[in-house]
Amino acid sequence: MKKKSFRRPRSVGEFRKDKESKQAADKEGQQKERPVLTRDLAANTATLKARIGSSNDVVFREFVLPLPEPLRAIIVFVDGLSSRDTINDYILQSLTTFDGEAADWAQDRRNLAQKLMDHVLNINEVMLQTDLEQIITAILSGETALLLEGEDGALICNTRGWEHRGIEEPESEVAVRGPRVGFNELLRSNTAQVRRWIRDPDLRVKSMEIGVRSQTDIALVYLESVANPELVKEVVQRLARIDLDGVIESAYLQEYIEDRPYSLFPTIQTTERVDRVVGAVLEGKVGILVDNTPFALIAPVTFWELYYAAEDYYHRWPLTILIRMIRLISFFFSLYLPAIFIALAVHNPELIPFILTIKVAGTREGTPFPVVLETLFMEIAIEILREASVRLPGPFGQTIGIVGGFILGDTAVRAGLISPIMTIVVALTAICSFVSPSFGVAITMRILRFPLIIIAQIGGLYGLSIATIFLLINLAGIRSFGVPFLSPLVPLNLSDLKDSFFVAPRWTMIKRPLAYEPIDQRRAGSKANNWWEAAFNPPQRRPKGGKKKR
Amino acid sequence: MKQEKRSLDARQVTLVVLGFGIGGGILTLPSLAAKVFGASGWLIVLVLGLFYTGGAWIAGRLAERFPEETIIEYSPRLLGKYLGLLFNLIFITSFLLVIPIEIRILQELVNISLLPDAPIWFVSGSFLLAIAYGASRQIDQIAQVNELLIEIAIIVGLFVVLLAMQHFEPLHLLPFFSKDLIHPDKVNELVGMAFSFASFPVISMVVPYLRNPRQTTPAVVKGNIFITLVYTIFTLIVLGVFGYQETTKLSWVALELAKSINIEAVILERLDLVLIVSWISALYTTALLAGFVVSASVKRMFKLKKHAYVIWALVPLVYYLSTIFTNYFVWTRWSVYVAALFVVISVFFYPLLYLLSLRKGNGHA
Repeated sequence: MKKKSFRRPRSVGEFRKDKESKQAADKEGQQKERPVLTRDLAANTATLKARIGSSNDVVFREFVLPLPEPLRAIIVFVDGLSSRDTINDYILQSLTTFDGEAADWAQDRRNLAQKLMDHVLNINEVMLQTDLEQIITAILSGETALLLEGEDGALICNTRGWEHRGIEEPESEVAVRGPRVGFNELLRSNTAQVRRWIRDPDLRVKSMEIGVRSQTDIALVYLESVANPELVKEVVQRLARIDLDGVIESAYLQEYIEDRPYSLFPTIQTTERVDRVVGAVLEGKVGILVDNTPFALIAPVTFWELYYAAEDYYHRWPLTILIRMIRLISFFFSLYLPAIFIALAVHNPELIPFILTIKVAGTREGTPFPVVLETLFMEIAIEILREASVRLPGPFGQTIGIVGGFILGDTAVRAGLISPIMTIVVALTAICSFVSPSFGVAITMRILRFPLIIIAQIGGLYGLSIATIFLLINLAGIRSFGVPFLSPLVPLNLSDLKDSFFVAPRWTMIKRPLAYEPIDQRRAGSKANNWWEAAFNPPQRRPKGGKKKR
Repeated sequence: MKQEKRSLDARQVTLVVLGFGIGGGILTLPSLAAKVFGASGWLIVLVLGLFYTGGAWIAGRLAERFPEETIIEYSPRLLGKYLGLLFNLIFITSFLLVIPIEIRILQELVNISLLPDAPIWFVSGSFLLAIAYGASRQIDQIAQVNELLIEIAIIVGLFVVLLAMQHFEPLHLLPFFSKDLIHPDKVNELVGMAFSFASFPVISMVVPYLRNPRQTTPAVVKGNIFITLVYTIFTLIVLGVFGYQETTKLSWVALELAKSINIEAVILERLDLVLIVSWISALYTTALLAGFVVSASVKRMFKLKKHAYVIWALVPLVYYLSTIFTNYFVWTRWSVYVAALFVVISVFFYPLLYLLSLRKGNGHA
């Protein structure tokens, strides 16, 4: 009888080794099977048709080149992604109407592709490509491939051109003062806008493709002579590590490259405004522009910067100080106001002045719910109203606001279901949360408010203190591309404080934010040696032609 | 950008010394000073502070000689195996005992003001969890939290002191240095007072993380001078407001000072509760840094991978110790024992270690 043999269990190391060798073999096999271009046009056309020809929007147009011995050629492009005018006027017309009989270069067919590039194709960007996968990617990106009989490569002509939205003011970041331009969904238009604002030869636009299937174009923008090379390297490395199917919006990348993916706080800034990206690039940060979305990413970012608006820099500095102070107070209220109200009302009413206590108690008389439930109901109702008004078209959204806020709220107070003081607290909190210029951080505050309300009910002011300590420990541990999230407050950086809770006059900000460790720390054009010299000797008071000689 | 191992600057180290030094002491120090030195109690606070600043200088110089190591590693080399081990045990025990005392002070404060009926497990437990969570983080994170919280505590404390100036009577500070008011028999109270200034041993555990170790001595000396100034000014104001006789009878002088303030037409009726809320952060920084020192010391002593394991393992023990200190009298007695340990460390061991390091010359500097 044949003895039954059991397979020896494999160790983890052996298992891994087998898996790796299998993957390597698969890769080798794929490379061997990978189709390549030949010198036979019919075969090449068949190969391309097999790969992308079954889609109706891919156009194959055959024609004959007027050479002494007519030569068959074909152009391949995607209808809608490529400009028909460019193809008709600068490719087809040029290639079918040139005088091949008379041209000296046309007598010999060797290096024909190069000769066509040199003498016939009057299009601004043409290159010879032999890799089939690269050719297909180029076609699917809106470029036109020209294949010739007897050539084992294709000429790739830049004919990208599709319908896109114009440059408009971004609706999510409206400014009273400042440029009315935002990014659109076209990457090249966006990079061009940044370059239009910074005409510095050191401005680098570094392109990458991310997404196995979507192959989305990404562009990193930074100033090579300012941004820390370590920062740029880190951004590139994190982007290069991304392995996903497709990139539909920049948020996809944000999730992959953030330092703390599980944290509630965003560690990368998003913006639609060109001026914001330009300002960040000038400070030594890196902008990440993504094709098909107007939302750009800025890295690194600190917690306080999430509370700055682009237009802060367009007002006079005393006004900006006031605006930022109001914003910080609003931040505090949006997070803590309902919780503090509950802590005082439930645990420490003796802290509230006597007359106010009487008033609050009077308004709460007869309400059926405890104060914490009342607050939670109201907060949830506000969130529902907010979500409903965002989802509905403009006029309907306003109606929801009026119906929900005014009619429902007023009726609930009259019916004695909620107290007027609670309506004031919740409404004030909601208004304060709208002040935040960053949608991401405003949401975070909304999420954190709910646990704080419950903690205040259980532990009063003591509970809130402990919760705040936990929050601060968490915030102190966050880094955005190596930059402490709470800087310049902690660790304290006096130089960077000039543009933090308040804003110093522009001529005193002679250094770029040091937290980002720019290689060129000094802003160009500043004559003063330090900020106090600049403050006491502003440029307006300096004599023309520099310092007076003694 | 990569995070450096040496991530602390000199300012943060100064604040670490300050954060450990300013804590529960401010609540009791003025009454202790008044008991020993009467109306001139502030003077003994100043003298004691300056004396300990000398100790801080020694600790700074010692740490500078071993910039890559903590005191746990080089003390056995300097003192010998067994004495070094004894020192390490005293060092760790003294810091460990600080945590339950701070927890107990907080429990008392919360029970007498914010939450009168709150159970011990809730207040002490949540505070201990916050300490363990904080102390299990990296030193740069701890230093940042300390920086923020101690600044809040000092600003609020300063605000209260300034408002309390409305009751300040310079006559309360007289007679100046009168023999009748000095009580040499109560000189043992000085031990309890000394604990408030003996925060410099913390430096011995953070110097390997300091970006420029040559700045250690100025940083720690600055920290101690600042503590001395804060305590001296505070004692001066308390004595000026209450007079020395009343001060000796007060257990929680800082709270009484906040209660004495009358401000009309404000949002909050009582300022003492605001002071307590902010003072939670001062108590927290002391306990947080003590927790870090203990866990980092044990980690280095037993060559463990992470200090976080140590602090979480110590949580039940610390909680048990905090429940032993059942009332004000028990924990004040224990705080004197802890203070005595700190006196031994700072007055005996540190000068000895420094002298030995000079003699043996096996430092790196």
